[in-house]
Amino acid sequence: MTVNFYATLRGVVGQRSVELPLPDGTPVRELVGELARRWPALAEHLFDETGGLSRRVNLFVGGRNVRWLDGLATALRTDQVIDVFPPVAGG
Amino acid sequence: MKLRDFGSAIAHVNLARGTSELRPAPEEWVRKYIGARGLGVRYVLANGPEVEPLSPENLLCFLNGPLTGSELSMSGRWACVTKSPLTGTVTDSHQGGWTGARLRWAGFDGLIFEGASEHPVYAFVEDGTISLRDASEVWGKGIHETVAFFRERYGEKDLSVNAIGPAGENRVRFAAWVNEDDRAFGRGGTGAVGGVKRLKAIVIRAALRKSDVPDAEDWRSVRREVLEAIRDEASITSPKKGGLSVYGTNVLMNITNSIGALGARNSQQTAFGEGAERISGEYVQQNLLVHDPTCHACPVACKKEVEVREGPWAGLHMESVEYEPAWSLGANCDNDDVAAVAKLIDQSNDLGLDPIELGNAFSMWMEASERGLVPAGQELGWGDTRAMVALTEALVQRRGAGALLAEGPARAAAQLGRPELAMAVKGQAVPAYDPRGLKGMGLGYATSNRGACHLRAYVAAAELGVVPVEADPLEWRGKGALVKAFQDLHAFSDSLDLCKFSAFAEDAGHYARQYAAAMGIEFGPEDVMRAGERIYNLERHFNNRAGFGRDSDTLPARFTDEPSTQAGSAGHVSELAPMLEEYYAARGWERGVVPEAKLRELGIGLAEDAPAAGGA
Repeated sequence: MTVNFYATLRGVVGQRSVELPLPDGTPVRELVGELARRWPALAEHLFDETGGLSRRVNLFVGGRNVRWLDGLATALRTDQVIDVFPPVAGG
Repeated sequence: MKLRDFGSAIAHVNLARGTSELRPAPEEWVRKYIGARGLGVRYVLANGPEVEPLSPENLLCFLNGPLTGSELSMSGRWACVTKSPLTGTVTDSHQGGWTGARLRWAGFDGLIFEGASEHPVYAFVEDGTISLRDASEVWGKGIHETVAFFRERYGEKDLSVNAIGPAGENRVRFAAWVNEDDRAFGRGGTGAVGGVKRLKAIVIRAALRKSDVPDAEDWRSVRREVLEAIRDEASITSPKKGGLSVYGTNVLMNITNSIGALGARNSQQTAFGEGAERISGEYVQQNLLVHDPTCHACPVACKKEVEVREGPWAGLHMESVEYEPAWSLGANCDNDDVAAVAKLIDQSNDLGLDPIELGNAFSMWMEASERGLVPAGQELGWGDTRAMVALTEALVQRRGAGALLAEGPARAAAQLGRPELAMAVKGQAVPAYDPRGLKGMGLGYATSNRGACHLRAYVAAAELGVVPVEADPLEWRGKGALVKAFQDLHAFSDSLDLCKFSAFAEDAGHYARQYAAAMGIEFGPEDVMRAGERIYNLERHFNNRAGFGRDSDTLPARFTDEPSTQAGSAGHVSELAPMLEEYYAARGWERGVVPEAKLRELGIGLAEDAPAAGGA
């Protein structure tokens, strides 16, 4: 699975995109866990104190924020675009 | 500098007679409408909603808010309020940098210009005095040269210059005022009103003055609270850490692209593919960024100063590559060359143009060209950046295709017989959030009192998951009440006049405490929302009297009838009709009109119009 990082998260991961060897059907929870395992500095951005998805990150699958899909249970496909953003806004 | 004296020093400048008179704003107006935006609208309303915008009878108000020039973070803003020559609505625009603060330090809360001068003049403001001086040496010059001229004459220390360029002088309907830091009163064509008045510039020389407040400890506490909120590492405003500080507003390019809310090719598409990355804040930060300028009293430093090192515009050094113009002159025109975007923004800053409107003028003309609708020899190809640069100069001089485009994309498209090709509301072109992918923003465009605007109700902060308000961008239900709440909150903060980005770290409670501490009064968050609602309804009342109602609360058919085909928003249109019904119900309006009972309920007492209002 290809995961794209944006804004300040690129600095945390050190690159724009990463490839993860995860199969179709992997839930977002596992993807996020794998990201935190490979890049421990990312963990504080990904999880809140309850172990849920932090408000400091917005994870999009096919352009939809997983908060509006099935949250951490959202099942992923390898042909989907996965974008991870910190909070961003402006004018 | 007693902050609680705000409103006591408004200079009324009669440009025809060459005189000025200091008059306090009516206390009732300051109490009800706060300052900057709200106060300016009250003056413009008293002048009469039927006035012709490009006539000497239009009023041109430059107003601070009660917090402008103080030490409070993000308070370095002031407002320009007038009747817009682009839309015919009341319009207010806000400028950052140091100009508003210097006006306060020079002893004024506002400058209201009436009539028109026979010859080009500039206003020189210093030490509580204002004089009109001959501007013939700078009439016709770009804003950069004008700033250099006044720096040569008056010295650079403690000096601010706010000027129009050739665009304003030639009454381009979307002409802007720009200051010495390339910060603009961008939208609504306020620069053209300056051109009609032959007012070239406002030059202010004033050293910093400290605020005098009723309770120094209370003021310190309020300022500390705000600074902590802005500096919080979890906030996008966090200096050098938050996305807004590190990348500027252009941090938005990739996320709107990702969710299918980034219009491309005159909004025919809702994403720009890999092109978005090439004009993004991330790309600018890696490849062009040289400095992060800021405004008075702001630690965020969201501006991005860049240097172009190669290509046809090598050597260009400019600020700032913001999201809105990067979209309008970039993705919207099928242009993925960020150096060209920087060049076009720099041209806009120098000639005095709104780059959002300029980009939409181009994209409309590009689509019209593709469809064979423009006169032979005036075609503009998608992404033809050299032609865009050339056409910008021609537009300001009203030559060739520029003669039509100088009237704005809405009027130009109408002249071609194809009004639907202009993406505009009430005559003002849309900003960079496609209503099919961010539905609340679309409702905001339709109900903005100054035409399509992303700042009247920045619900994107909720729809993009920045503020803790649940708002699915693809859900239309609930957006009526949400848009109203944001409009009211922003109307208040625009009247203080705080930077809009304060809303990413602060709430109504913060604003209430700041205002209360500055003025030495009791003021709570419910008072903030009430004042904001009053200001919003005042503006709407002006527009109703100027002929605007339900029929002008629209969106281009492209957004309501043509489904998005890009990921994130595929299949979606803007459900404007039901959102409007929700919104009107939340507002208590009848077919877009503010009823008398609502005006009374909000204490908008128009019978108060008195001679103190300047004869209106």
